[in-house]
Amino acid sequence: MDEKRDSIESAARDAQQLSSWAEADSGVGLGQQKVMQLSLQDNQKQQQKKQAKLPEPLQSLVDLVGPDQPKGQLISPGEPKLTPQMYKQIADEYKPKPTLLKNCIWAFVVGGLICVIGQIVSNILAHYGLDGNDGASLTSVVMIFLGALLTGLGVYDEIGKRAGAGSIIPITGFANSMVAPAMEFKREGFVFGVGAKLFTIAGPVLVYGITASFIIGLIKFIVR
Amino acid sequence: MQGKRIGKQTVAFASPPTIIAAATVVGPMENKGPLSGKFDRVMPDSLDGEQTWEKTESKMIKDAVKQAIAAAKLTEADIDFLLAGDLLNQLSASNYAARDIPIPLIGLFGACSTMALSMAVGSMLIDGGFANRVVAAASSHHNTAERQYRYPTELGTQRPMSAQWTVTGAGATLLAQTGYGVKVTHATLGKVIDLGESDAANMGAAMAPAIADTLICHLRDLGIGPDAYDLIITGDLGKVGMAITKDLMYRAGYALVNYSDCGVLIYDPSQDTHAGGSGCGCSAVVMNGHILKELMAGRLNKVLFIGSGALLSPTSSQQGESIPSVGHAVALQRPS
Amino acid sequence: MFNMIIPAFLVGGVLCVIGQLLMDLTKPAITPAHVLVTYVTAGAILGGLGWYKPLVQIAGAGATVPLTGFGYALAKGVMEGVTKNGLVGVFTGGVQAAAAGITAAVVFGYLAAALFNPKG
Repeated sequence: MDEKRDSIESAARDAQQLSSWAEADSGVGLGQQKVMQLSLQDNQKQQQKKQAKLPEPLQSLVDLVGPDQPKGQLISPGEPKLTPQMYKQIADEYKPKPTLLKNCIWAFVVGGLICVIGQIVSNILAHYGLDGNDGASLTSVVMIFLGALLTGLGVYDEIGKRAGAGSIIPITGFANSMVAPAMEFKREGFVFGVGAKLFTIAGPVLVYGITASFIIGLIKFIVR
Repeated sequence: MQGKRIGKQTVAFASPPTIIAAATVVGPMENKGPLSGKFDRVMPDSLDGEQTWEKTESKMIKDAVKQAIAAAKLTEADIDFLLAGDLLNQLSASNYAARDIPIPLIGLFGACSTMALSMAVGSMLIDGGFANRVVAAASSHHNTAERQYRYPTELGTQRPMSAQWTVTGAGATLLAQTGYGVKVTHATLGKVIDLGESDAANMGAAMAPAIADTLICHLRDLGIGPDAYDLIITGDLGKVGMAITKDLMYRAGYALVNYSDCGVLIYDPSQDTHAGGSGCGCSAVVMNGHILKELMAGRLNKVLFIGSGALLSPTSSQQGESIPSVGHAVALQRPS
Repeated sequence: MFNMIIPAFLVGGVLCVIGQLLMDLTKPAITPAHVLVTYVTAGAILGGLGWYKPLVQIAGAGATVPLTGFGYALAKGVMEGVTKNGLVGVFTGGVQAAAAGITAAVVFGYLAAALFNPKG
């Protein structure tokens, strides 16, 4: 009984379904078709390139898995026929190279400019009689303030996307590495969120910096 | 076994389950890509009125599931199981979403292959006679995934060219025993394969062997070639993984031409995502928002969808472990 | 006001390029955090050997703003501390010299994190 009713209901629904699918289909993205075409062209190009390199596809398979293996048996459980070493060679061939020159130019220019800002700040402080150690300390304080502010405003990660090390290595980047995780984990509370996460990257930096300074001091104390 | 298994890893459904409705929710960035306008709901921003990104992701799953059920003019009481998964620890997005969905939940973790996995398992439940209708769903959110797996979003880091962009999106597929829609004819569940790639910023290379393995297995089990499908579409290999997969398949003696990838399709190259999209939501929204519609419209007849999952955890990648990966395939056929 | 601008630009830029090469040419395991730690330690060691000071004299902020400068400040501080206070200076000198930077980083970091929300 139930089954019968179910089937009548579902037939009725099927009819409605037809229309609901038709509605869903109304928009065909032209951009989509272009992308699809491009990727198909890409496939063909890669195929041709490979074919030029390897005259017969099966030849390569035999090289990889040995002559006894049937076609298609590239990898089998337990004992991969394709060893990690072989695979690394294949995968590395397709790994995109970092755009090294572009990255370095960006890092140079942005890193240099941040240092120029630091120099201007330090020059201004010197003008008001704050130089030497105090001047240097205050310059870092100002730079850290700027780094923290730009991170809060959501600007620093946009700079970092292009500048890479150019915005990581200056002390503004140190401030960014403190604010970014702390801000994001604020939703986990002010102790384990903000308080703890301030030091996810700054913590290791302080640990190694302070330990290095301790060792240097100790050596200095001993050889004095 | 009643003859439902073919070959080593493939199941053939005796009465193929039908996809009677589907729904998608995406973030604003996904709707600016080539698939713009294909999605059912576009969130105005990454938070969508919630307090945290985690809450947003739960809401996205909830919305997608409810919308799929509503599109089929059914209610939650008509659904026997919800199969859902996401990328967060303890599947929290799905579990929290399921608080407000009165359907028994089967939580699944297949990393980015979750959509294919939930469709495959859901189809098995239906064809096995354990359910009449199930909803298969998967989601990911760019910001929840970034903060769990990589760096805080505001940290000024540079992403390598092989890196992929986690898609903000959720998709739900309503599978039923009877009805009008795309049929799920076969499913091939994959083995976990790890060929030593440990770079979490190059997941395409980590997943490609698993995809090639599942694809070869599927083709061998059914005794067909890749040209038996109008389109073979992988989950989120991105540009790098796609090229490697084609190479591996070529070495195995198969030429892949009618082949594409959800991660490559979802973003425009101008969107600066580098190798393409990734995340559970990537294949979930491309399949439910685009490929199913193409099948319904008759522009595609037979599609093989292979979800690809990189099964890494933040801990394993910090410990320098390589990335185990998996591929799950479902074969889809347009309604006749 | 515009003293030493050009040397600061050049030296600061070169220090950042070295960091960029470190990240791009090594294994992916070298993250920004590793680079920062390396820079601080390198700055401290170079400072301890007395090799960083000439660079600071030539380039000013070009040498002190990159994180090697932070390491240099720690090393310089600890050496002055040892000269002044002996063994106690080993423990106090470094952090004393860097105290302004550390305090600023903690306070401004806390404030920024409390006041702003991430844009995503």
